[in-house]
Amino acid sequence: MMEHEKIWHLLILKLSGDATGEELAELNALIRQHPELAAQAASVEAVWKGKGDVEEEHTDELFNRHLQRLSDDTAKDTPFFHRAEGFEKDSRSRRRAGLRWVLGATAIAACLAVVFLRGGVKSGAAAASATGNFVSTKNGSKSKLQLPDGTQVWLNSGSNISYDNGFGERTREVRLTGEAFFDVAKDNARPFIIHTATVDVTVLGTAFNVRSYPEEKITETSLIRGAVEVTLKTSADKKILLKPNEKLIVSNDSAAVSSDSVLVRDVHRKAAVMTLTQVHHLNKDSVPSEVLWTKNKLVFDGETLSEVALKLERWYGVKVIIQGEELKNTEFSGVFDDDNLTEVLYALQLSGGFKYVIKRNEVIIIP
Amino acid sequence: MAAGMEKRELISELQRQIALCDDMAAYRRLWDTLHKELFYFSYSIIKSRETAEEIVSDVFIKLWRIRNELPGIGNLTVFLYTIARNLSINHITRNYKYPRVSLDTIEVKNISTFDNAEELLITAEMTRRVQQAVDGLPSQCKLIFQMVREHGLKYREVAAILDISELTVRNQLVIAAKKIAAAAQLNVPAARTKPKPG
Repeated sequence: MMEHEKIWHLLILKLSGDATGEELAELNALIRQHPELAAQAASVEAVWKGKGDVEEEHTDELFNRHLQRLSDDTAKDTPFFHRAEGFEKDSRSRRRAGLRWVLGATAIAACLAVVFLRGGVKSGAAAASATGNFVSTKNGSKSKLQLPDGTQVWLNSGSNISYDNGFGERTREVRLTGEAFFDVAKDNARPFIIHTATVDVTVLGTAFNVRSYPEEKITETSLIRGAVEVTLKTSADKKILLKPNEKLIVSNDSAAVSSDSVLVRDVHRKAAVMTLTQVHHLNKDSVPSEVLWTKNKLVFDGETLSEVALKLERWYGVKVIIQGEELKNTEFSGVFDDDNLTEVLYALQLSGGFKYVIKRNEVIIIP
Repeated sequence: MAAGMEKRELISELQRQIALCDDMAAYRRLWDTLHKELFYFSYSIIKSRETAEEIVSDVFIKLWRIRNELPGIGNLTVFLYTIARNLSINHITRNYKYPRVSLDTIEVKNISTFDNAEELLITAEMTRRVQQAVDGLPSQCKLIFQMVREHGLKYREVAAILDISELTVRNQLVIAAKKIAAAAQLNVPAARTKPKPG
């Protein structure tokens, strides 16, 4: 009987693919010695191998559902999302079946960035004259990267960030063109400084958004938590300390900002050279509209069609042409949750009373 | 692209790519390679397709979150199955309020299918009886049988995932094989086979 047991052990080893050549030979020998078990063993083997049809699955659809959940989860990494519980539920209930290729593109961009940064470090060791590290996003894509000190940076489309190889040795300094959200790793000994064309932002450990696109009229700094100090390029003695939920808007027209310009609080931003205001929560407990882009939401917050057009160009990687001057100053507000360009334009034209034509990569807006 | 590459080698390669450079394409291929078996593994334990899909999704979210630590994981398949097992058991514990749940007390659903199309030896009637026999296996035995037959896991992998000994895996598989043999045997015309010992 012991040999019968041995046959079963060896048979299942064979079927599971765990059996060695020796074991297979032993099994065959045992079956020859015990012909009474041969039929049973053959039946079990046949049953084991005869698998029924596997049902068809819509793999892409399934994977996209997974990506949606992954993307919701990744967003929770942003510190303020922990507090905004209502927001998370909201986003889950509005789960969309649409493709989340932005996430994929982000990850791939991040991959390139990592490869590039590693290359940069190597060449830095070889040649001291190496210029440093540069990460950029094209229009239509976003990226998230981690700096050597652990600081997380979400880079919006059409933006770039660079830093020297000496980053983190004594100070942590980066140069930014475009828009980025920073979650800065705390390090009191080495201040973190972001240089833009108009302002420098100095921080010790905090989460905030800087928006400084050359084609826009203003530079915005929005603080989510912690504290930052903003210094104007044109007058180094002008330092403004931001408290959480405050936003500083500075005109990019350097001639207008001088050492005697006055800080204006809470006035309409378009009239002032420099304005201190609050970040804008579109509804209670939500994420401020200034950083909703990190959640892949396209936001227009009382913005003129010209400003909307610039955002659309960066977000979707298209060219937007507005025909008709008076149309350019029409203001729009709205949040688009992962909608495609056509859906956004359709919604805008309903409230804006314009028509549009899409030709290849060009959107023409006509009165 | 993976032609000729063994599944395990492919998984190791994808593991490396994901860890090294956040490779989303590799992540997708790993999902393609494993999501279905993890789904059926979880489904057989919790018996809800919707929840099983969410659990597989959570397993891969976890994988993405800890992608920097992937180089330190020896057997990624075992690692992912273990997360799926824990999430599945947690789900049952949460929803049924049993103080403690182990896999031998959970009713495991049979996800194995049998087909006689390729094998003249097996008739439709035998297939039906085999199906019944597998349905009737004790929970842990059924789960182990499925893991080895349906998912192609090795003894030591099943042992690691279920936190039992390899000897237990082997013994449970022998029980399953004998039951299947008994179910299939009645129709075997060669009646000279002796009655089952024991």
